[in-house]
Amino acid sequence: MASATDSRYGQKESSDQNFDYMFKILIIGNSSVGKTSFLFRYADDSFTPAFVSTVGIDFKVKTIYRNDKRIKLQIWDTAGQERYRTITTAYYRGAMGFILMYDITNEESFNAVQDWSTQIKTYSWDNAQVLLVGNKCDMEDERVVSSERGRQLAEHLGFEFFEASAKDNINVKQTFERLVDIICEKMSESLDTADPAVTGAKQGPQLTDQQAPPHQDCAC
Amino acid sequence: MAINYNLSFLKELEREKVLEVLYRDQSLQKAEEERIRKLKTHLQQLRWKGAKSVSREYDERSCARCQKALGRLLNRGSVCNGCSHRVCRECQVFLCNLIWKCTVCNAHGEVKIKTGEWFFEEREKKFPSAGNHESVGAKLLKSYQKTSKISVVPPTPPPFSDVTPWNTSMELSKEKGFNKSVENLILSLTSQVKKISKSQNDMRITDKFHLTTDYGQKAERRKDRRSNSDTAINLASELEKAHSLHQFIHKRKEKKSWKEKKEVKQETEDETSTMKSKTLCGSTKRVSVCSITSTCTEAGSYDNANITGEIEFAVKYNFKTCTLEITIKACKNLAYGDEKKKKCNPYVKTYLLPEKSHSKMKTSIKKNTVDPCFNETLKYTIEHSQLETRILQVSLWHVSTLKRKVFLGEVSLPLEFWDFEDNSTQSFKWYQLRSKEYHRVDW
Repeated sequence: MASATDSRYGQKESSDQNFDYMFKILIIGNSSVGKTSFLFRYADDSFTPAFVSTVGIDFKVKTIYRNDKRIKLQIWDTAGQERYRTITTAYYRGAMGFILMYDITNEESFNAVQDWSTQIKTYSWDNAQVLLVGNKCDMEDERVVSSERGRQLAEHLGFEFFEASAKDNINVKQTFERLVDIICEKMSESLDTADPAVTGAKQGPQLTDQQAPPHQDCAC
Repeated sequence: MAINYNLSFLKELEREKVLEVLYRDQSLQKAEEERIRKLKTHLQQLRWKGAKSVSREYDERSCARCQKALGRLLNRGSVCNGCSHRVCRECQVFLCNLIWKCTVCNAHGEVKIKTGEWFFEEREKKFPSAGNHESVGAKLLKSYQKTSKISVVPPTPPPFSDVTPWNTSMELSKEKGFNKSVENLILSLTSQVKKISKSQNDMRITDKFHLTTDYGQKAERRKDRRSNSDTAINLASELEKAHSLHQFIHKRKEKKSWKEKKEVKQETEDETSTMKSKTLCGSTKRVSVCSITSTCTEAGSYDNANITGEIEFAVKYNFKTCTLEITIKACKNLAYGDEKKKKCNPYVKTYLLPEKSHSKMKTSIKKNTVDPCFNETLKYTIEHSQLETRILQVSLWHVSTLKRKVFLGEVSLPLEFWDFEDNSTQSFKWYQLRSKEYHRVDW
């Protein structure tokens, strides 16, 4: 059997071990804000206006090349509906970064951002990196949440902020790449501060010549 | 913050869907564990190669890593910042700005980030108890496997001829027999389908909506939104469920059962009234669904008539073929679309809101009547789990000679609490037609 046919998308992506890091990312937010569409745009570069609500959880895998490293992303797409909350919150703990999404044409979804943020604080690790994303920015005519309000809320919560459109492919890639960069920063920070005395030797005097973590610049 | 690793609250079809994701995650995790194991073995080997492990004696004047002799003046070596061992120049890995580590310390750090160990360490600061790295998916799967009964079921589906189309309870019992062995079958089937399929496009096109009327109109085709990997699963399960032979038999039986159903209708009416009170209890949660409707008002221009009359239809879900079947039977006392000429050419249009673009279906147009008889079934191929977020909107329209549309009334049914496993809810009922202001039926 020719193995070339097996190495199509999906098969190849999940079994491919040719990468340096694996990051787990979770997309959360109210129902129908466009989480699944956002992920499909990023992972498959596809978009369908059809609305299919996610059952519980789903994920996609994408390997990207960033900062001279191949990074495999396992991106979890969660159901926004309340009834799946027990499943979705269980996945918070394994996620290194979050994309918290609202719909700029839906006030309710924006008002819920605070609650989602509390969920992250409760269920995830302390260094959880969060990007606030206002989706559907192509629908300017129906906008009810201004960019300014989004930015202010993000600032208040200590998140970075993007407005994006899965439909018109605006800021989708940028969002994921920024999140990957932030996680990379956290990763090198944790390595710098980590105790290196695990190499089978006595502890000696340490040079405190650590690199200050590079400053995060605003991505708006 | 107790997390409930339990899938028991999910409906059967939802559980299948979630399990599919969990198994996919499991295979990914296995590959990942294998990668991590290799990385750690490699690090271990690197350590053992070095001379200076705790148990071994070594010469002060040699490199701790490659055991090469070090000079007193030239090639003295330097002490590693990480492990405090003296190593030669070749065993120093420069990171940046003259900061370096010995090969082992460097490898250790690399393994730590490559395996994601750094994340687990950080996380343990907050959740000290979460020592083991067992993933959520693994826990969920474990809990599922504990609760599900492991029974041996032959992989071939039971003969279709035994299935009576309107007996959903029987179909349901078969659904419940769905267990691991069948799931594995589907997974293996999926991989087979993938191999057979020549291109991705083959996989993507699935019959999504069928419109079957008495005249046998063309079926609409639509591209499935799911990507290749997901479609494969859907396709596989559809292959199982919607056998062409079965559909053929099913259609014939459906026609036959038409007459039977009319008789049964009278009896089931009493049961329906008890259902009303049952569904009312759960109606509080419906508010959020209804808010979607308001944003989906009919676009385009049309005229309004004074809304009168009723429509009779049945909504049922066929678990075998995964189709929502709306059988429009008849209407009575409709308003005249053209009040002056006392004319009315009605037809019925349905949507599965909130989706508008792909979910429109129509019946044929009946000429010159305010009591039309349709007897047409509109079919949506949709997974059961998707239904609860949908609102079925049934509207009546009049077509004038100039093709201008006149709105004759509508009925909106949120499907969230629709009991598709109950025959009485799925039988024919008369619904009062409403104007656009009414977004749902009061039970």
